[in-house]
Amino acid sequence: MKYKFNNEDELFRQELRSWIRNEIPGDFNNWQGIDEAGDDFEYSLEVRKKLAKKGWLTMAWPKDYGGQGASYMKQVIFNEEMSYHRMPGRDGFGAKMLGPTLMVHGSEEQKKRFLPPIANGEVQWCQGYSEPDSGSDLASLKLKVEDKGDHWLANGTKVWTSMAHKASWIFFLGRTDPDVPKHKGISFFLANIKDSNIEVKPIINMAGIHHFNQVIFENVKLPKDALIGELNKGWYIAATLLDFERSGVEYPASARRSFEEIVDFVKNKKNSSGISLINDPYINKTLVDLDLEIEAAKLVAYEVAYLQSKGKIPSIEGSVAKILGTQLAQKVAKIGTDFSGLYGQISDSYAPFDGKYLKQQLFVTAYTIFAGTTEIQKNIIATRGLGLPREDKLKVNNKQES
Amino acid sequence: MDLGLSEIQKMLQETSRDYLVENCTMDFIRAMESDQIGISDEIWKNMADMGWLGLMIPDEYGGSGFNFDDMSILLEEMGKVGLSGPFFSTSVIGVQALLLSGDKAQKKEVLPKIASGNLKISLAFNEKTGSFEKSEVTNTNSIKNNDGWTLNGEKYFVNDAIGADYFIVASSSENKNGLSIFLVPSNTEGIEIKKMESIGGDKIYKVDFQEIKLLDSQLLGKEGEAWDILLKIFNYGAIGKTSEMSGAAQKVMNITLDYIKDRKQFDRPIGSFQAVQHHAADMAILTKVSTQFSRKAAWKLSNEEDSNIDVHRAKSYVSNAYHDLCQISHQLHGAIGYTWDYDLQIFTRKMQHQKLAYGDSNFHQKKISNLLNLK
Repeated sequence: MKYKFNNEDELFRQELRSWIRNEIPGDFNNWQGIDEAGDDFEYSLEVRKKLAKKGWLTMAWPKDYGGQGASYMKQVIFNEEMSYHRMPGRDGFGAKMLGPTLMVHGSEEQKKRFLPPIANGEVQWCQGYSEPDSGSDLASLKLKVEDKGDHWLANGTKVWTSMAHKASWIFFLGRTDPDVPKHKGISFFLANIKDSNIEVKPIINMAGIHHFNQVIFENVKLPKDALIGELNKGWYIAATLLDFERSGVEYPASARRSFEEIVDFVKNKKNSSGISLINDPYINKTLVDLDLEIEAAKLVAYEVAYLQSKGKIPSIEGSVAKILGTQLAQKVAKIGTDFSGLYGQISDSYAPFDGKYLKQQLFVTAYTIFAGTTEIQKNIIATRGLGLPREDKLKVNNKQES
Repeated sequence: MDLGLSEIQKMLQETSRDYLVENCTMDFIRAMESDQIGISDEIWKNMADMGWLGLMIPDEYGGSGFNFDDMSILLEEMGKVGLSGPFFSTSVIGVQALLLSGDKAQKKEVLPKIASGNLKISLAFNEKTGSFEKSEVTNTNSIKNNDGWTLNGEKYFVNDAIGADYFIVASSSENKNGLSIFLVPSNTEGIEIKKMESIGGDKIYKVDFQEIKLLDSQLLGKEGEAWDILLKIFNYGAIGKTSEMSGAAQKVMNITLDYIKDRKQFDRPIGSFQAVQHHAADMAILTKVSTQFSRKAAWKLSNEEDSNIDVHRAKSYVSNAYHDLCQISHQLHGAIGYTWDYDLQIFTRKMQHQKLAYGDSNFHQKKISNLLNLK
């Protein structure tokens, strides 16, 4: 038992932290971060290239692929500090998801072609999984990919595709065999999203932010080497991603920064009687509750990374971390908004933080929905973790009754 | 970062689990509720032989020389079988009190006898208010005289007073405007013990001390300087209780899982309904987070100077979480869990002591607020 990072890891944290503080434009205390999916995308790419130069972008990659083979705990520190400092530049789709998948399942040519641009921070990927009729039941996806001898032909629609409007490439799951059980007829493909037969349509969310897209494939011809790994093994190839760091430490780390910011705000803000809001016992209690939830999410995130570092598969813990982290993000946004009083409905510069927490409150509504809803996570905990029978696999004998 | 157990801790976990499951059955736990001491002589002797009573006592005083984080693993297992009894008062609180405040002679007199199972201790701190603030000690005072001291006072919520060979009594100190603690043999003239009926079978008493004559050698530590020591003792107490509760949480969850896998309604196990599964998932979340909070605080207590924030976070979180968990378990059990014959209710009753002892959730939340400077 040891609830402490080792010295080497702490030194890395210090090095990273001073680098970030140096990179942040202006004063850290006023730094609010940027919208990486919007106008600031180019800045985010700039930082990404710097991270690549430092070797941090692909620190998790094995040394054979130009990475550092960094430990899970070091990756946790990296994500923790980047999130805490609201630092852009990380590459979830390329460096974290596709890269490792290619290393395991890609051909030599595919690796040579696609890995270096990811490692250098030069390319934006996006992920085409969800479809209009396939959300939580992802394996029911329908986007059809047919083998036309010398090429593949793709037809169908992906939706909720984050960053598709900024990406140059998409990795996606397509239906290659409609006549077998649903998990067994799916394959994993890559496509250049600038293809003239691929249409990317914006979906504006209720926060007014363009993050999601609909991606429509209409008779898209793909070369034969667009297939990654074996045909009809796409479901399992997608699951490979799960072997890489997924502690969810981002949530408590960014919540901690918001917590500090909100505490500063309520210390300085006085009510109409001239009393600082921090001395309102209800506000005080709300903040302590929030502190506990941040720590709870952090403890479980560390446990996920620890289990991964021991070569164990954190099934329950991964789901618990996702549930706690995303609920935490929603709570932070609500508290940041509530404490603004009537200004909690104002989204311009009249409001504290220019209405940031209000916008965040709208945005983070998605958190408990994406990447496996809270309900799906609880199903996973109950069935895989606790051994309860799966409802959809249950044979109910109703006839006995009549 | 190493969130796993050490080899020694694993061994302690396995051997204690085997022993406790076999010897501290639910029938035994039920019998101990009405037993005056709360443990059998045989099991107490076994605990001495296995090195548990002196687990945290250094070798030189006849103990096993383990740390508090090791003890927390044993306490998890005790919590799992629902064992209360004088172990906590003697081998967690008593031992830490002696280690933190006793001089060589005092340790030599008491610790080897604790380790060998021949001596029990009870801390008498609380008074009528029932809080863990310094201001709690108002009606107990110690007055210095030529031969030593005279102690008078009324103590409430004294755990395991019957059967204790020594009380450690906290009193206000006239001279130094602080608190002092004394080692008082229970057979001293002027001590009267009355029972306070506890809901979970915990042995809780009101103890009156009248004109107790004490020698200088019975003062633990320095006059008027006991508060800092008491705070440390309470930290061990608080995390000892979170260890028990996180162990008990696992047990309550297991009882519940067994039940919902077995119980059929509408021709299917109720555990196949998602409405039920999501409650079960919530139990798993509460248990996991409780264990992490508790173990982290236990580790900090054993290895770092300042562990206050972790102690307060753990006790405030786990006290609430374990209460909620018991409530969910009852919800999933339906009527059966509510009956006296069913074991679940034993844990629910014992929970009440565990979550209140050494500070309830609100108490620790206020401490967090102070430490985070939320003012």
